This record gives sequence, structure tokens and C-alpha cells, in this order.
Amino acid sequence: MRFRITVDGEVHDIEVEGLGPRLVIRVDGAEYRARVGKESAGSVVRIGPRRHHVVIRGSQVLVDGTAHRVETDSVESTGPASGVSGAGRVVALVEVRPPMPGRIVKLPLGVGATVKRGQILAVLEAMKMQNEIPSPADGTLRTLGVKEGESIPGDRIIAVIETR
Amino acid sequence: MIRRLLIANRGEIAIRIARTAREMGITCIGVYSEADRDALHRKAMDETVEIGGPLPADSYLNARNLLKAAKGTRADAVHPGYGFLSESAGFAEACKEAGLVFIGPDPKAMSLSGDKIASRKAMRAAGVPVTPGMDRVVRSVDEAGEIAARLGYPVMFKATAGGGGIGMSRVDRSSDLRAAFESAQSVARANFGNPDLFLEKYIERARHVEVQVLVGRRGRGLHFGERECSVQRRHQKLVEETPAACLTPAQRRRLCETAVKGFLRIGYRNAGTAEFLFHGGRFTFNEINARLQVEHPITEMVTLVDLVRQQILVASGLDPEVSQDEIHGHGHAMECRINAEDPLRNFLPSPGRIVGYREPAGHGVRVDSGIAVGSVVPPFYDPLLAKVIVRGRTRPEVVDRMARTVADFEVLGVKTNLPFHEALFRERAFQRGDLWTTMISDLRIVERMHGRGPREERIAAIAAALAAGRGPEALARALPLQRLPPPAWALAGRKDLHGGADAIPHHRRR
Repeated sequence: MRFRITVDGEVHDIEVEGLGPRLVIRVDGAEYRARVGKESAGSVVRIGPRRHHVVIRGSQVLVDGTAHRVETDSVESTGPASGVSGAGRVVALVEVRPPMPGRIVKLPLGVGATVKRGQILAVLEAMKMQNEIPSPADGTLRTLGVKEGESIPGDRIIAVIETR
Repeated sequence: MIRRLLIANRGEIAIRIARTAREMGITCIGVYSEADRDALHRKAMDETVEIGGPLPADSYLNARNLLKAAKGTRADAVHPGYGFLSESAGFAEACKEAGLVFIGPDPKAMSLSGDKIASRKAMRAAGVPVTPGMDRVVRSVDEAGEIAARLGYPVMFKATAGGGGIGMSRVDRSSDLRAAFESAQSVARANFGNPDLFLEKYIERARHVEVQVLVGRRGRGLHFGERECSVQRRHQKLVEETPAACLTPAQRRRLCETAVKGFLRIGYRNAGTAEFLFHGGRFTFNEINARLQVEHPITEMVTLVDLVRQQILVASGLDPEVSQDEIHGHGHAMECRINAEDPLRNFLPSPGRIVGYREPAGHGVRVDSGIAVGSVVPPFYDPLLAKVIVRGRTRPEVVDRMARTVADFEVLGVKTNLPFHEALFRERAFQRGDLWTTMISDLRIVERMHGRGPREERIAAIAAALAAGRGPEALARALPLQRLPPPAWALAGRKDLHGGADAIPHHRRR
């Protein structure tokens, strides 16, 4: 599943694969493999060689003793592992937006192409640099909202990726 | 002595210049675009003037608006900072004509320095060794092919009107020439308004070493030692240090004296930097930067000389405060550029609002920052947020100190390259001082990064604890759901570039 989490005012996009106790967590695309165990007060989350103690108290979450203000929203289920049983696969459409206005100088893929997470979808010329926009997920390039050579504003959707 | 200085820049450098000017009793006038109405640098000034819309062309690059602001505030001098109009001979000339003291070289020297082909020729004539290349504009791919065959691959296209590492295109074989030629022309045209290119031999595993020079009004040239800026990504510097570990004292002396000779030959005045490539035990001229460099603070840390102060003195018709005999470098210093970029997403710029900010501190730590909590990092400008500068007695001490300092620097709300710096400082080659300009990509430092640091891992732990054993419906019930408003920064500039009023919230009329 996917959701947005705000920790101390900073927003992050979270993807979760698996139901537990072994989970794959992606925080803004960075992958962590976690093992969650229940404790008397809260959970122990093992990531790599480290153990984190997490206690959830309403919108205050303690991690290893330090309190953080946490809110969530935009919860979506994606794929069979999210608990949607049987009836059909759930498909998510992910919009890819530019971080700022600029000019599309290259579109290496065509509509219908299979993409992998991190694969370059577009090259945007802006802020003195040629910025490579990566795909946020594995899937198929469903639509392209821009053309090569086009100058685009910051709210244009560059591409939509259909994930499975 | 000048009395009212207009600082034609923004962010950390505007603040840094204002600090020195105010120490000298000079009134500081700052400028800001619509996107920078709440910018931190405004608070560092005695007065500020709004100079136009968010796009640089309408504000920080708009000479007419800047000169109007200078006239309206009765400024008697202008400091251009770095970037923007700092190397525009046209702007320097316009300031001169308006009766404003320009803190930098005169238009003619600036013009020469800004023409990379002309500066190569001038240096060659001055007896300075120059990186092998062709000192004329390449008119066609065929011509490029002939020149490249003579120089021997690999070669590099460079913009003659360029600089700052922009618009350089390496070519390894003739079949790649056309694509590189066209790409370099496109970037040159977009950034400098001039697509002209020349060709240089590409030197593998070179180190970038530059010399800080200051020429007094009576034509007396001083140098403040060298800086090594070999840690780069796509020709953009990320870490700089002084002294350069690769030079012997004799090489250092020869390099610095050569740089001074070069500047004197072209009639340069005020501060400037001569960049060289160091390879095979020798150095060859690369380009001149007719401005104060981003990395100037590391020179200040080891020499204790305030370079902006010297710039202002010289521009005011006075002598620098030190003679060559009085300039000594003590110990070692390093700088890390902290940019609003995401190293896990190809360093994609990450504009946004800073919701958490904690600067590092301690013995031998200096932070030149342009942001604070609540600052908006707009999408229109360079992504540099702050510079962390560290000094110490030895290079190993400075490496340890910088690693600690970077780990202590907390910036929340935008992605930064802080985790990249942490990864770099763990690299053995870097710790040993074994540096070269393509080391970041050659060592695959970014590819080997997995996360963005300990804080992100804690966030993953929170997410895991919330999600374990819960589907979406149960998760939605587990925590109070907030309808998060779109972050304010998301509205910044998100209107049509051509026409529509921009939607920057939180602006106030002063």
C-alpha cells in the first residue's frame, strides 16, 4: 500500500510491500527491509543490524525514546500484497511531475514501454542543469504529457506510470 | 571609501557580503525578486528593494532593474556576488556609466576573462602553460572531427562564452561527435546566449587546482595560495579544500606566481581566480574566473584574510591590507556545498519549504547559509542552500571534523545532498586525498547509497510499525488522518511561465 506520512512537519511518500512481520518499506523511493515484532509497549523494528523501538501514542510516536509528531493521509492499496484478495488486481496510476518549470530536452521512452524504478523518463533543462527525471516505480508508461522541446510549467504532468 | 553598497545577489553570498560591508561601516542595500519576498538575505540588509518577478531574467539578471534600484536607493557601489551578472562586462560597464563603483575587475578585463578562447590566447602569450586545445570557434562537426583527430581522443567541447562547468561535453570517439556538439551548443545557447564552442584535449584523472589572486589598484599582484576543487559531479564542484595535497612546495610556488603573472598581463584589477588542471606532475591553464568564487571561504580560513574586505578596499581606491610576505596559510580547510537536490533521484532539484533547520557548530566550523526555518527554497535559482566550511591543523583532522559536522547538519522539508557528503567522507580514496574530477562517478559513490541517513531509517521504522499487520483501512484508523494542505511551496511558480500572475503565497507588501 501507499500513504503519505508527515514527521515533524516533513512529508514523505511511503510504499509498503508485504503484510508483516517482514516488510519492504520505501521512503521517497529509498528502500528498507524491516522486520516488525511486537513488544509489551509498542514494536521493535529491525532494519539491517539495527533495532528501533517504536511506540505509537495518538499522533505522537516515540522512536528510540525520541518523540516525533506524526500524521498520515492519502492511504491507497496497491497490488495483491495489500490484502485485496481474489477479485482482480489493483492497479495504481502514479503521476510524475517536474520539480520546477523547464524545458523537456529528451524523452527516451515511448508510451507503452515497460519501465523500472529509477529509469530515466525525461530530461528537463532547468536551473542551469540537465535534470534526469526517474520513474518512481516499476510498471508501464501509460501516458506522456509533454513533447520533446517543449517548455513546461511546474504543474504539468510529465508522465503517468501504471504500476502493478 | 564607499558608503552605500547595493548587493546584487541573493542567498548565502548576499548575507556573507553584507556582513563584511557592515563591519566596514557601509550601509547595505539588498535586492529581492517576488519569489524571495520572505528570503533570509533581506534580513541581513539595512534596506531592500524588490527588483522584479521570480525568473532571474526579470530580477537578478535584469541589469535595468538593478541599476534602477541602485539609483532609487542612492547606492554608490555594487557588489555582484557570484553567478548572475558577476561576469557580465555589459553590467560592469553600465555600473561604471551610472557612476557606481563596481566591486570587481573593469569591463575590459572581465570581457577578456569571459571569452575562454581569448583568455587561453592571452595566457599562452604570457608564457602560462595552457591545456592542449584549439583556440578558435568550431564551426561544424566536420571541423571538430579534424581538430579532434589532431588532438587525439578523448576531447571536450567547451562554450567560449561559458564557465562554471556548464556546457562541457566529453567525446571519446568520432561517432559521438555530432551528438556532443549539438548538446553542448544547446546548453551554451540556453545558458550564455552564445552557442560558440571550442575544443580541448580531455585530460583523464586530472585534478582541478585554482589560485586566488588579488591585484591592487597600483597593479601589484598578490596570491592567497591555491584551492583544490577536484570533487565534482557533472563539472559542478561539491567539495573544495586548501592546500592541494598533490603539490610540492616548489610546484605551489610556481603555480601561484604563474597565476599572478597571468592576471597582471591582462591588466586585471581586484579579486580573481585562475583555474588549472594538474596532471602528470604539471599544471595547465583552464580558465579565469573574474569574480569572487563560491569556495573563497576556505582561503579565508587558512590565511585569516577577509577577501570581500580586500575587494571593497581595492574598489574604493585603497590598498589591500596585507603584503605578499604577510600572507601565510595555516593548517587545512575544506568546504562542502549543501544543495537542495536529491542524491537518490539523480540529484533532482528539491525546492520546497524548510520545516526544520539545525546548523552544525564547534571549533573550526563556519557555516555560510542562505536559509533558516520557514525559508522557501524557490525553484528558479541555483540549488545551493549553504556552505559548510571546516578548518583544522591537518587534513585528516579536517576530514574527521567535516564528517561529524555534516552529520550534525539537519535540514528538513527539502531533500539535500547531505547524505551524499556523508557517503563521500567514508570513501577511502577521499580520506587518503586521492582525488580526481570524475571520482564520484568512477567510484559509483551515489549508486552505492541506499538511504538518506539515520533519520530516514527512523521514518521507515515508524512506517513499518504502523503498517505491520494492517491493511489500508486499519491504517487509516490507526492514526488521526489529516487532510494535509498542499505545501505552500507547491504553489510557487506553478502557473504558466508566459503571462499568468505567479502564485507565491505569503508575500507581504512593504
